[in-house]
Parts: sequence; C-alpha cells; structure tokens
Amino acid sequence: MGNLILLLVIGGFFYWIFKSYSKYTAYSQEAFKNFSITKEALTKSDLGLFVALVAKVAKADGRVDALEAELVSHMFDDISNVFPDPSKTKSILKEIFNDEKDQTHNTSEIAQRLGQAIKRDKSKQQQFMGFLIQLAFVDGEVSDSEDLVLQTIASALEFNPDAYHAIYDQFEKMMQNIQPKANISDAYKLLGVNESDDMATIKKAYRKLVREYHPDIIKSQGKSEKYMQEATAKTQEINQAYEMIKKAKS
Amino acid sequence: MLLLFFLSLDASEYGSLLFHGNCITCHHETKAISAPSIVEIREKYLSAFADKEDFVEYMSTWVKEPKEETSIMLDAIEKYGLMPELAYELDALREISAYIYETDFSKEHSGH
Repeated sequence: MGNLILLLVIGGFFYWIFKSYSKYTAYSQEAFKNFSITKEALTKSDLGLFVALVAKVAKADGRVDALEAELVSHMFDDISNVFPDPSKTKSILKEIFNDEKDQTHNTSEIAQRLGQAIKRDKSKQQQFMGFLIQLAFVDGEVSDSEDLVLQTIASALEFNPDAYHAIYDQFEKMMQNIQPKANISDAYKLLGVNESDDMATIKKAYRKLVREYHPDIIKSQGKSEKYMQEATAKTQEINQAYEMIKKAKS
Repeated sequence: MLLLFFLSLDASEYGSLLFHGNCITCHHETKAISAPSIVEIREKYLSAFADKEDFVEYMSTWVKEPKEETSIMLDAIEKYGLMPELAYELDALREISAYIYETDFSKEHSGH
C-alpha cells in the first residue's frame, strides 16, 4: 500500500514536470507574457522566422492569390493573439512578411535558423512544415517553384525526407479526394446562404466560414497531423463551393 | 458597431496583403520604376473618379483587360508601354482597387 502511494506521488511529480515543460514550449499568452515586442526580437523568434518562410511559400509562384491572402491574414491574427500587444505584433509580422516575400536568396538561411531554434522539438517541426505544405496546396496544385521552395526549407530544417514526403503525399491524396459539390444547391447549403442572396452577402458568409475553419498554426499545437489536413480540406471545400456559386452568378 | 469596425479593419488588411503580394513588384508606392507609382495612379484615378464605387469599378475592369482606348493614363502608356494582362480575378482586383482608394501611400512608410 505504502509503495503504491509512493508510486502515485512520483508519478504525479513527473506529470507536473511534463505539464510545466509543455506550458513552456507551447505558444500561449502565458509563455509570451514577458516578451518585449520589437521588430528585432520578433524577427529572431521562431514564430517570426516562420512568418518569413510563409512569405516565401506564398509568393513562390509569383503571386499571392485571394485565398492565400485570406489565410495569411488569419495567421497574423492567430499568432498576434498570443503576444502581449496583438496590434503591434501584427503590424510587425506584416512588415516581416512584406520584407521577406520578394527575397529569394535567404530562404535556406532563415530555415536553418528556424531549424536551430526548434531543433529538439519534433512536434513543432511537424507543425510548421505541415502548415507550409498546406499553404502550397491551397491554390489547387503545387507549382514547380512552390515545390522548390518547400524542398529548400525542408532540407535546411533538416526535416526527415521520408517524413516530408509522407506529409506531402497525404495532402496530395486528400486534395484529390475532395469531391466538388455535385450540384449548386449543395454549395449554397454549405455556405449557409440562399440562392436569392446577393454576392456581397454570399461573400461575407464565405469569408466568415474560412475564418472559422482555416488551418490555425496556434490551435494545431498538441494535435495530430490530421488537424492540419482536415482544416485544409474543409477550407478547400468552402472555397470550391464559393467558386461554384461565383461562376453560376456571373 | 465594434464588430463592424473590426470587420472593416480585417477587409483592409486582406486588400493590403493582395496589393503588397501582387502589385508593388512593378508599381512602387512612391517612385516610378518600370511602371507609374501607386501615388501617381491613385491621384489620376481620384481626379477622374471621386466616388469609391466608380473608382473601384473602373480600375478593376481596366486592369482585368488593359486597353489603350479605355485608359485614363495615356501618358504613362507612352512612357512605360501598356500594362500586360495578368489574369487576376475581378474579385481580387476589386479588393486591391478599394485598398488603393482608401490608402494614402505618400504617408505610409515603405514596406508597410
């Protein structure tokens, strides 16, 4: 009996250590409460480096399309909200994004720095790589230039090539499995609008749904790889329904 | 009311991302490099279309299919050539045009 209690106490102690450690490594308001928001500090932080890489992937095919812009702007919100001064953080993240999107020479260097910062955190590596891959898939298919940027990032992060291809293949398969809505009334239903609604109303409903279901890099913490895939699939489905309605209405 | 405020804030950020992601490679905010600056374009359009709706409609339709005959900036075409057709969606072009209408670029510092 005494042994059992001792075991429980020891178990509880390890659980406590484990919990406090994960609180320390997870991105949360708690973890960033003493972070001073300067451009320099943010640029060097792993989330700042990550935003720089998102910029490279988003701009890889030469343009930032509507859905990409939507997802990036949600990413700014999601990340800023864990910092003490969200609006200041957001404007700095935007600066980092705009500075980095047109520079192609330093992709590898930034990915290496991020790789150093999260060297011991496998789940963060997965999470970041998964987000970048879904962003490349979001506009339908991955172009050669997007593929090249992703490969550059993966190898600089020293991401296991097998794991990379596994994630990539899963996204590819998932994208092929999304069935476009068979008829337009299903598309209206998915967006929760009526056929008689005007485009402005439909667009508002569409954007609200994208905001609700988009792949959220902060929320993805502690969740399995499935999270990113399901969020991407859902976003894709919402987008396809919207495209279908747009075409029908024009 | 507060919600409305946030929604409009969000809309301009989305326009800003589209603008910065696609336009400023050729159209710098204040300097003319290989194409007229955004400040110059905005002034020209504002003097022709004071109303936001007209401004957005004309600019987005024109960029969708740039034609010399319908241009309001013939001097720029003479200097830099006609803008190429870039196959952007009209919807995205409207967002960008609205962002340009709303933004005073001469006050913004670059990279923002």
